[in-house]
Amino acid sequence: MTCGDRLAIPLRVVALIALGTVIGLADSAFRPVQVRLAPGAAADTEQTRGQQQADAPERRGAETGEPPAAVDEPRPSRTLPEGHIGIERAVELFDEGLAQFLDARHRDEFLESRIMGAHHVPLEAFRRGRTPEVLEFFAFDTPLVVYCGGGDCEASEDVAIRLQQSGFQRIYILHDGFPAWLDAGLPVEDGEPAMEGGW
Amino acid sequence: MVSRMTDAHDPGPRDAAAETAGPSVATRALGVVGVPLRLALGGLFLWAGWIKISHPQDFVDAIKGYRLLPEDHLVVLTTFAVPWIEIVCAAALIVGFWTRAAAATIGLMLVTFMAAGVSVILRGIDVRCGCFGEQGLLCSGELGWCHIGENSLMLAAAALIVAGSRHYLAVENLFGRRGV
Repeated sequence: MTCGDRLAIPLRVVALIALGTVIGLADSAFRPVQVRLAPGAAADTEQTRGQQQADAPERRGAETGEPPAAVDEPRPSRTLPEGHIGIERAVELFDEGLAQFLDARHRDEFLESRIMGAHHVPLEAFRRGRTPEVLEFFAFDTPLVVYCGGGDCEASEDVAIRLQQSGFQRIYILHDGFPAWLDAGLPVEDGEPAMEGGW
Repeated sequence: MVSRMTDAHDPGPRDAAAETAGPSVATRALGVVGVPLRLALGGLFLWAGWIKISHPQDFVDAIKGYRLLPEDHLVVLTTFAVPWIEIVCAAALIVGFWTRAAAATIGLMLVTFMAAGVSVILRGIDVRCGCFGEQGLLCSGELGWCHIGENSLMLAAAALIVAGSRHYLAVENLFGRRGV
């Protein structure tokens, strides 16, 4: 093998990588993927609610004459990532009874303990273009609160992206996840769900 | 009577014998073994690339899970570049065009993935491999040392192909430049 032949291999490696990259870039233009939750996942995220309450401080209790609810009001200065809500807003949605809570953790964690009434909807349920069966029962404007293990767990955001791609319009991610719910002493349950309808 | 005295311009009887003897046994063996290795490795990576291309959002999830790429546009670039590089190299391996370069490229990708995998394991992150979709090859479940071992086998196959200077049933032989 000559010196020129030895040089040919690295050059051809570069050429193969370049060719694959160029084709890949062209492909990405036709089939975009989503890495983050798109803006507007929910009409009333922590930021907008904080701003609304900052803009209308006199509305609280003025209409009903009752003192404001004993819930920590979100501070306008609190900044959460796009689509995230704090525990206070999650409690409001839970109390309203209209939101569906979706657990994005592993099944054994879901069975061990979960937010009361939550459905098990992990990321695996969306692989290969599938849609979890339970979502078929929800209207696209149903408020969906997704949570996982808190900390650096990203499963809830990944599930939220898939929900957004599926057409759901009101998606909330519980910031700090299940641990925050547990620490607040809020209702939980365990074991097999009464109505099997996860995925 | 043939003189045994040689000079710089005379190749000598031993060199002349080597020139006419053809490739060594090792070279021939590598060439023979190289055919099924090329087809197997090429087929594997064609399948792996196709699975990733068919469901790019699944691959995005897997890449994000590694928590190595800081920027979203790098995640997108990797999502589409990696599978197409796999497909291009797999096709080159199967038909036998730029065979050693294609095997070397696959080897580079395997080394890179193994480094990323070891990083994930040492950081205690639970993530799916994302290499062969849901089925997996020999190993299943979350990324672990089994996957590293699995990739080591593929890396060894790629190394053998690169080491081979003679490839049978290869399109590149038609161009008269064997083993490059």
